[in-house]
Amino acid sequence: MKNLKNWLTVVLLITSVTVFSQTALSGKVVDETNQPLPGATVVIKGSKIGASTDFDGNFNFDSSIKSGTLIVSFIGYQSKSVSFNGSGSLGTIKLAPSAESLDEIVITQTSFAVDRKTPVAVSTIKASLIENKLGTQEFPEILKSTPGVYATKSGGGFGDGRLNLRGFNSENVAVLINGVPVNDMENGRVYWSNWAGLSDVTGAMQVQRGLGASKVAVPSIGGTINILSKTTDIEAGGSAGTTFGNDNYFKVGATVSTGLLESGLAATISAARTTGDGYVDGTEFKGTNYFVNLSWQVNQDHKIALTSFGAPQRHGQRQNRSLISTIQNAESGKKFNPDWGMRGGNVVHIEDNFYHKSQTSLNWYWDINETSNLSTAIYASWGNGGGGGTAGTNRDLFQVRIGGDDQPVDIDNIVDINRANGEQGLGSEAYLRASRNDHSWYGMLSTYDTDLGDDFKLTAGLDLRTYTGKHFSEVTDLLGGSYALDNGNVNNPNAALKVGDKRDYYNDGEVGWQGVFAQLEYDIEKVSAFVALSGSNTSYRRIDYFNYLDSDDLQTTDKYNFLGFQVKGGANYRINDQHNVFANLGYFEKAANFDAVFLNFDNEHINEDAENQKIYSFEIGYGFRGEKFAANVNLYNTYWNDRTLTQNVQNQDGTNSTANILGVNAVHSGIEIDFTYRPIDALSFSGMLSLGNWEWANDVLDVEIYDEDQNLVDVVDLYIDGLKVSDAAQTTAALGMDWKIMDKTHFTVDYNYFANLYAQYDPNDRGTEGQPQAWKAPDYSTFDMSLRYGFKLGTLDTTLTGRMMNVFDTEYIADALDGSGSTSSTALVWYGFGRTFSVSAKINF
Amino acid sequence: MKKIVYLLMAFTLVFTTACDPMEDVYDEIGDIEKVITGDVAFELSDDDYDFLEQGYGNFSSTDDAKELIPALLEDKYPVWGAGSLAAVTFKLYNPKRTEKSLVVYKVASSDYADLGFTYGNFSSFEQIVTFLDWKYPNPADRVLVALTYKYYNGSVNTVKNGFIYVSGEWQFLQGFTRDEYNQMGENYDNFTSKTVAEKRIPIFLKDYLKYETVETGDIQPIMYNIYQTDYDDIDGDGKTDDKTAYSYAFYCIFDGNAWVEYENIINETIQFGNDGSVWVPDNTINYTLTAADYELVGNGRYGNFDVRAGKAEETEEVRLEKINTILLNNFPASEEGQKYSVDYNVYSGAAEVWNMKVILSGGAYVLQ
Repeated sequence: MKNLKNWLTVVLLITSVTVFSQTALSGKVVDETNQPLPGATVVIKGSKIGASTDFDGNFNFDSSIKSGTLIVSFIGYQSKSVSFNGSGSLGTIKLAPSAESLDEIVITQTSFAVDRKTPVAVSTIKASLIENKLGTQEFPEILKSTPGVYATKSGGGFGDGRLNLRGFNSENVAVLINGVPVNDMENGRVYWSNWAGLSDVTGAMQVQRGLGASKVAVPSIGGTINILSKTTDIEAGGSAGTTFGNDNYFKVGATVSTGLLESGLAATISAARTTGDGYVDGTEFKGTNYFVNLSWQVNQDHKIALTSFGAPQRHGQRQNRSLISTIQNAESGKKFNPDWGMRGGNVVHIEDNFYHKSQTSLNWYWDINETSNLSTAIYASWGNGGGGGTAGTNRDLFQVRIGGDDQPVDIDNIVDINRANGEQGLGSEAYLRASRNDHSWYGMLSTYDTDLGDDFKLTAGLDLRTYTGKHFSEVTDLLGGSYALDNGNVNNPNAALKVGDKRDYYNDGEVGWQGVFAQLEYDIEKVSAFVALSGSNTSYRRIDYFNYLDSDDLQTTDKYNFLGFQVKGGANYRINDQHNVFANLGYFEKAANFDAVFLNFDNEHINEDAENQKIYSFEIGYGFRGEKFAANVNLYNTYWNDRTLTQNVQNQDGTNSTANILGVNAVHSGIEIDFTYRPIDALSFSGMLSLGNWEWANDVLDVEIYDEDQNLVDVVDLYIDGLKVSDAAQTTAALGMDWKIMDKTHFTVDYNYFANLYAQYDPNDRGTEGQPQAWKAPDYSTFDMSLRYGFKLGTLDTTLTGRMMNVFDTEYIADALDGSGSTSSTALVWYGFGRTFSVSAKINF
Repeated sequence: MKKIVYLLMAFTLVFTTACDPMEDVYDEIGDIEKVITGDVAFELSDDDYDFLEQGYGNFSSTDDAKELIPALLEDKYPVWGAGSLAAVTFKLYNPKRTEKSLVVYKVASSDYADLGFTYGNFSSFEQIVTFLDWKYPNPADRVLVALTYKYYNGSVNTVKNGFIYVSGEWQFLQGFTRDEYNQMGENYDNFTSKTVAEKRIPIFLKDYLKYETVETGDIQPIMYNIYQTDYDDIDGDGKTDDKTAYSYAFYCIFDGNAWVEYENIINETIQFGNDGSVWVPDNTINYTLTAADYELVGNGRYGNFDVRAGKAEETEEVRLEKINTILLNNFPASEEGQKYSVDYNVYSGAAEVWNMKVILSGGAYVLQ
């Protein structure tokens, strides 16, 4: 403790603390709904003196400047100037939402939606809420009280959470971090484990349902999730914190900022380390995360910032779901995991995941003149890692367990067998491998903004990306054997592989992306409107090092190009200070993904005419902003047409042809209501109700498939009319309470309800008439609680937060896979976690 | 403050209504207790016979064993459920009859002629039985006929073998030639005493039958001679104080290693299966598909059946067809009615092991 104090003293000394202060300034910053805004920046104009608000939105600092203007700013809000003269309280300062203030953080195209202006359905999560409520939950789970969102922990491994929005999975939900799209370039998915530590440095997170406000072409069928990292802190200082929780969860981290220095430079570094055993058996994990931000205000017109972050981690996974009866009979119940074993008394993660994706961007903001500016980001992202699993000629050995079916896999047994094989010169019968998916991704995103007269604003830009994904399987543990025999590489047949050698497959996917976008905004008095256009070309090329000889031209394919585009528009009408209505509509065509072009994972079955998926959406909304009560109502209708369905047909002469089957359509419609109510200062409620009706629209019958010579080779039928879209609860509701028991002490309770969750199935497999709906998992509800207590440790603001998730230890199924006959006895499921807890302490200095 | 209290009370009310979402599902799935199964092979111990109240330490018929052993299994393995197997080896009292009376006879040329055996010899067991039925139309039970006759088997030899009449049937007892007696240390074609005979015959049999396929439990019926006092006037000369060759029936059993005197007890094994409530005789063979099996039916890549909706092995018919191919290939010698309980890997979204119970019926395996 003494060391810490000494260190803090040094930190305080090296930063310019105003010791000879005369003016004491205080006040409270709140948002449009009168909720406190923690972390807002308050600075005296023309100086570097200022402070950040605490978690009740209060600020309090001394200054040698006797009179002047305070600039109050917060991510996503319009900065406000408040003049002062001498010491005293400035009362409550209310900020209005805006996108304009964001230029300060020098990032490109944040695409944040602005309340009562941008005509889209939106929910914004502030950093303070994440800090308070996330605890040890998966990052996407912070959004579980947001309408339209279904977030689960999936298998329960560290970072394995998932999120569906309006019934669409991650392939159709755009995720942007500081304006840069991060969905996988080949398959469109989002791997949240890549961003496991991002919650620590998130400044704000915004969920835009439906079309969204993003100008770049992103696959926002379900919606867009914008995450903005924290940026330059005005004050020097930092924080250190630790969290411990159930199952040996332990996290320790710190953030240090230089504050904005006289030279115009500012730096922030944040790092944390997390370890734990995992709630689920065999899901031990280790993760670190880092965040570095260097910014430089070159002069009045130019700002440059370099940001780099990542979260390398390794964790045991629960890859496979189990039958309800299996889980019920298992010794560890809902913690049961079939995918781990024991070797010499130590845990072996048969299925695991290890990954490090770094994201580095250099941003340049140029204020060209009074009416226009240019912001450009050049970014690079490198990913390394993959997922572990089983390999070998006798993988059945991984079913031999230490005892019953519910016990860990007997790895020692495999080691004995492999060792005996080795003595006879034979290879491992069963061993561990990892499926690697490394990538390098470089991109540039540049946006030009200019005002056209008083009422119009034009935004135009370029979005360029180049991506190479390296896919291969490698030997990770021979389990006592001396080598593994593999015949996957035609260039090196019958290879005796060692740990680290590539096996089975090795290919590259190259993706190029060239996009342009433009948006025209109109804003006058009561009306805001926009129309946006974007187009993009996606090119794919595949290189297969294992299936084709090095001398074979087929090893590298040609480039195949696919065009996509989107057009959308909307208008918001502010009836008066309290009421507003909006409407938006859009149409876009999304290019098929990599695997829909290169069928069968080879270079011969190429679907060069892969069809675009077509999305048509419209939505209307209403908003009310009162003194104590605020609410939103949205109605949406999204048509998802020509979902990718390809068939590979073998012709009689042995050649193959491919067919794109059109007409697999889904309709997602629904209503979303959310509100906040603050009857008295000390108490606030928030709630939401989301009723979705997401269905496949029609049967696809008698689709005749012809080969190149127009011979009929197959007839396809899909019986999907009226089938419910699976894998996300169609009805969700939430009710939350925040009670300020006393100063800096809050008690919160959150109730969440989930219903109409249909077990996951693939509509492309519904080829038989009269099949039932997918199995419907039981509706469930959970309660979470937190208690936050703030106090001064010496002169330092300290916060203790205790959280308990699933307070009543309710047993429920969060993820299900439909089984034969669509019944509860054949469904494969993952249960949600039982009661868990965590306690955090954070000291600001 | 009062308002807050009301609100808290309202919240508390909502809390306490938190119910159990899984209740209906558990009801639906019903008794999901996992069935404990076992597969065991054992030999009944003395205690087991005591339990079954078989005082002699054996069963007097296979039917008795089938009827009684299930109670023992129920006692030994009370928690085992459907699909369990127990191969039980028990002692069966299976007496081989020795003679009560003896007839010695040499088949005369006229006998062959009278019966139409124009070559003057026999050439099959049936022909000998024809002769015996003709010669002894009303044989006494367990009469032993020590018969000397000519037999054609490539060439014609004169042999002396035994035929004992048991339960209405003539049974063959192997006799020995002069040479064979010599090999057993005798100068004539007989033994000097019963003790010597019973000691030497088993030793001799090992060499005698060395080219035969002999399995554990095989019983070899023997007839041997002893030169002794003719109390019964077997030679028909009217004297009972002279000596002549008497013949005796004797049985040896192969114990897997050597021939031993048969003591009227054989080991028999019956497999019982648990059908969920009781143990019943069941020939089920448990079998788990191997990598080669998956390869055989085109599932070698993943070593499993893909049972997901719309995938190749979604339906049981397809799986049955593939399992048919495998079993017919692997066990060509299986007999009609043979049951198999086949464990196979599936991918249903997760890697699971499923089971199929089939029976060979009409040359193909069908579901039981």
